[in-house]
Amino acid sequence: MTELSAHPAIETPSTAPPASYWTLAIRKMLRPWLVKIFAAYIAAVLLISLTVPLLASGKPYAIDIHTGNGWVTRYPLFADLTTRDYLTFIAGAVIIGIVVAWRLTRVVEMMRRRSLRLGIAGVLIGAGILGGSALAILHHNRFDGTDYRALIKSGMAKNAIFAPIPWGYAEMEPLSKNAINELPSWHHWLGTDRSGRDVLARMLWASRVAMGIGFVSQAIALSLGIIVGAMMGYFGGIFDLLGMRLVEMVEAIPTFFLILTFIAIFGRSILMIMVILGVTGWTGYARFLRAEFLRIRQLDYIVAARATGMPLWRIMFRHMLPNGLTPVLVSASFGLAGAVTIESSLSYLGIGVRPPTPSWGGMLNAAGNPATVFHWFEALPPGLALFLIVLAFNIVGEALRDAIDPKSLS
Amino acid sequence: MTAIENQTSNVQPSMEPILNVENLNVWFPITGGILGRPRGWVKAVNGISFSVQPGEALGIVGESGCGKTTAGRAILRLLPRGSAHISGHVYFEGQDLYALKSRELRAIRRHAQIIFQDPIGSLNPRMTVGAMITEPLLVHKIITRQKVRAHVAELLKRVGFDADAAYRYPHEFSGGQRQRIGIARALAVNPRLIVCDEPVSALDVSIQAQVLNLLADLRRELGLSYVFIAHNLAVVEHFSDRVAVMYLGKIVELGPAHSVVSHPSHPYTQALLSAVPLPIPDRTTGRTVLQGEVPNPANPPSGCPFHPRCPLATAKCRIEMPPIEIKRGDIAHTAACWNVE
Repeated sequence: MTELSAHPAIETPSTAPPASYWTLAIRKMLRPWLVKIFAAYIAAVLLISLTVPLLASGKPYAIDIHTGNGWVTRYPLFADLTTRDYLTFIAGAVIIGIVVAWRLTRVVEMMRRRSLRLGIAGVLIGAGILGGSALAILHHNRFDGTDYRALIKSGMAKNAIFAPIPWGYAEMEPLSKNAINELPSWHHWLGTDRSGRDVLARMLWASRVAMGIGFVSQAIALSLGIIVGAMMGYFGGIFDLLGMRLVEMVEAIPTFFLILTFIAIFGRSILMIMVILGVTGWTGYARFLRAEFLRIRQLDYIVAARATGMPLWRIMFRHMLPNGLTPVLVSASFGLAGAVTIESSLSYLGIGVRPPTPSWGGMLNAAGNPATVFHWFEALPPGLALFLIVLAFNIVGEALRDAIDPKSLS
Repeated sequence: MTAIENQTSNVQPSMEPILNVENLNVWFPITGGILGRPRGWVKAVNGISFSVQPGEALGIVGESGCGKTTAGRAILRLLPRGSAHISGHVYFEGQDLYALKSRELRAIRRHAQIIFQDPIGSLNPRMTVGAMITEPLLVHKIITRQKVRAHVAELLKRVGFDADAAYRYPHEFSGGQRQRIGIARALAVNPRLIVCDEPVSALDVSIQAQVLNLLADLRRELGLSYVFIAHNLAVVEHFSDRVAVMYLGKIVELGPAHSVVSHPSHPYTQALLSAVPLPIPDRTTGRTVLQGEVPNPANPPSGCPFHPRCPLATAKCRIEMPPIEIKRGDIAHTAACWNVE
């Protein structure tokens, strides 16, 4: 018989910092391998969308060019990047830096941790704003029409280092080569489209449009939904009555036709589509948060916070919001999928982003239509990418919902 | 009950009451229709008056649904705004809480705290114990950031934890431990009055004594006043100096704890007392079992609300509400009944 332990468990202070609710929920969400794969896919697409100017470009990172004064090293890719590209890099780096700092400072003792985190975030954001504005003032990208491949062939340039995918999204093979609608080859890994452009390069660039529209529109929608939902749920009464009527009115707007109308009047603009999707898409979040706030505001810990005389905004946004946000975030992952779908539909119809900017929907359209020949190898990659990203958002959203279900959180 | 000390010593009756409740009414609307107009009222608290002296513990007992929890929230002005029609006066240290502006109210809120029944719902699951305790201290600038750690460690020690507990989340604790964390949170802001809303009802009996002893120790050491709400008369008797018995939103009996328990005047109190289990296996006599259910508070009986279940009820009881008046001469033991002297 095994010996029964006679001593009570001695409480030893664990060295690891206690896992917060969110850490637990995300860990649990990622437990199934399928969710891991799809979360990794989303992360990869996000990373590609942020770094694509460095991944797919017809301009070499560095090249030695023969000029009147001998050989000179040039950096055409970096000179060719727009200010917006650089600002995107800076913003991405600041966000990633803050996330990493957040994780690393978990071991710091609680009272100092908060000021440390705020300090690091402040420094990073400050550096980002400074660097960004310096760049915006100093950096001018000029149109660079040089064909570096022709230069190399003619012996006027050498030692070129190209990006992994050495094609720009709008770079066409010369008409003389007649390289349109080519099947995949070593030269063009996913073939070329009807204008002789590299499909893989366009695929990667298109992730920018998809992610941009998804995240920006949902960020707008979330902010609006959280503000309106929190007000309705916390104050109730007349706020609730008017807020819900507003929600119903906005829900009655047909988003797709609104976008079509705006495009007809103001012309195409990706930013406009983002804003319209955001301004019409917040109602679901507001409803969720309202319901959560109605439930949470009666809980004892909120009564306790009021009893200690906490200010209203603190109760709403530090005590209630973290507890009511989870269902909203679950629905945000479905909202992301929806926004990506709408953008690709618009692009498929030819009223999304302005050509030659690629988008998965536009590429699907370009693969063929009843009037022309259908090229399946041009339709498959964007179709698959679109299908997988929407599926990934839905699967991760479902997993998050299961993970935060109080009946299953262990 | 040897575990719980009965203490009546630190009451100073000559002082101004710390809490004075005058004719407090809390009526919840029954709404209906599109416009949500009230069709009737649930009179959860219907004209109660009492006072609490500094250092005193006043017990409030009654069945579930009698309005004692609502009363506890209402005397701290903690019911959500607009959720109920509230009238009457609650004077906390001479200031009418219901006449204060919200800014003034927030400033004095910390002097009166509340401890809850449910040890799960009363702690924010997303905050560490330390964050929970320090937040009000920092918001009210009671203490500087440098001194917070020592203060939190001292508070946690007072309720029986290591300083280490500050870094943990509520889900890492058991029910009794959580209740002690709730007490530490209430104590953090140095209150003078604590409303204990059934603080031990949800706990195991062995843990109940532990928490009650802690509350009693704190009272002795810090000179706190308590409003102690419970449905268990035995617990209330040993914890309180005076006891108020509530039935259907009204106080039917109010007097010194030992007097109410040894000489209950109101027939409802007598029934309540006879329901307290005693360790006498073959006791068969003296048990008053009430007939019927608690009436619907939205549609209370006329006259004395207890008359449909009262063994002493007469025609007068059905018509007129008896006033609360002194029944046992010199010791301020009052009850509201026509049929007892």
